Amino acid sequence: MTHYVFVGWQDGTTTPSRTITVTSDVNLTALYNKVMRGVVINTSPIALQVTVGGVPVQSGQPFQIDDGATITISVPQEAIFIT
Amino acid sequence: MRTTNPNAIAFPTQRKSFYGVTRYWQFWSDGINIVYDSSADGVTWTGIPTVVRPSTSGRYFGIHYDATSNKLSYAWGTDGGVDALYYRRGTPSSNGIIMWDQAEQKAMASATGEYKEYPSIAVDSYGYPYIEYSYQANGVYYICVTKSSTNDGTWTTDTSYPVILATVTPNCYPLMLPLTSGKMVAIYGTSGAPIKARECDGAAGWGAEQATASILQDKFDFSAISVGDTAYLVFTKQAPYATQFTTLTYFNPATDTWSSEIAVQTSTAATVAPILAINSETGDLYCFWLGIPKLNHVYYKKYTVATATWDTNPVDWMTDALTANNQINTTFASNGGSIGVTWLTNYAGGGYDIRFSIYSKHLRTITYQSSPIMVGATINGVIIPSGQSVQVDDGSVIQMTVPLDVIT
Repeated sequence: MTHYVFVGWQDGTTTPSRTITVTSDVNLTALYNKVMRGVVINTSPIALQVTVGGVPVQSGQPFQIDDGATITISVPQEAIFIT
Repeated sequence: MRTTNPNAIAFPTQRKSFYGVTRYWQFWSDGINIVYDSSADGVTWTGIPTVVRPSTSGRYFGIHYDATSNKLSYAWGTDGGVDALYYRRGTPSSNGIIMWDQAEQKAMASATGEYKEYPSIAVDSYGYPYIEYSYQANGVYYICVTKSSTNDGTWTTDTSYPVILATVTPNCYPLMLPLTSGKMVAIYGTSGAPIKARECDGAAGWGAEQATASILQDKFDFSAISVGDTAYLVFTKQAPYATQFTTLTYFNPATDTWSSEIAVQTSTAATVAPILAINSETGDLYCFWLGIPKLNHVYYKKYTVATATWDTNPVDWMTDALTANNQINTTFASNGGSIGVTWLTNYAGGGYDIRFSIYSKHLRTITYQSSPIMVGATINGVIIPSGQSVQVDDGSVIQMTVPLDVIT
């Protein structure tokens, strides 16, 4: 699923509904942008690398996904730190 | 409207449709006969064509309509080699019927081995019919004109006619136009040569042959109309192919010449047959053509009389599954601002459909698209997909809406 939102007309009009008096041939283009969502995954008490859809992501680092998208997050079951 | 003949409405040198007595009228060959149908709005036709006479091709006849007298005339002749040249005149009625003034008249007798082809008919300002035709006898081609000395629907060949205008090899396509006060102009074109014209003063005879500067590509790729004493001509010139426009105004038939040519549209093709029509309201001319630059598209450009200029860019007016780019015709003149335009498409059951569409100067085209996704819009409550066009009345106020959010 992908979410798009209307951002305006190519001629600068910003409302999705408009009234036009037609006195010549016209070309009108509606412009859309994909809606993205910011995601931050944190692990505590220590920052770990996780995977989102198989892609490594560092804990605490924001990233964007499509609005409405379903993601699979995997975190390590165990973490051993050698000090 | 349907036909089995691929030249059912051919060619732009011979008109097949007109507007008169509140109706659009379309003539064509259905493959067996000349038939006609009519429509009050150009959309709804009776669907029951009326048979006029036998004719296996649209190339064998041309019509002329005089709105002032409400008289429709046709001329018919073939390349069959044994046929006469025929003429008939009738009166269209608002009920969709043409009442013929007389039985079909024989304008030229038949003679074995003689061809009287591609007739173009025009009626002078006094009602006398002229027929220009390609004539072949013993392998020699001529372009000829004959005239009737009667103007009541009968045909009696004028004592000064027929006249051989030129000897041309190979054969020519003729195009006859009326001017004012009985004057006429006969235009003729053959493949690979300039288009020629000779003017007639209506009494003393025919003037000198006047040739266009450019060379005609194919003999049927030209069209002309007359306004007052001026003939307006468009044609496809030889490579580099272009649609050329030029005029010939009657002053002195011995010395009149075609005006400097204007390229209406460049980068066309050998197969394009442009056709001219006039907007009776404004006097502006419209040049329609098919298939170039995009296959299966119908285009036009407007010639604004007040400024003597053609549109810079063509209007991509319609799309359809066209059979050939030279199968186009239009009404002589507009109904108000509306011009009837006809072309052929293939019919799935075999043969061809004849498409009739109305160009109206009162219509404006709204072309809508969305980016980067395909989202429909509503125009006055009607949904149109992205990439589509709609036509609305000039000056109309429309409400157009697209969705704020789209989930794909």
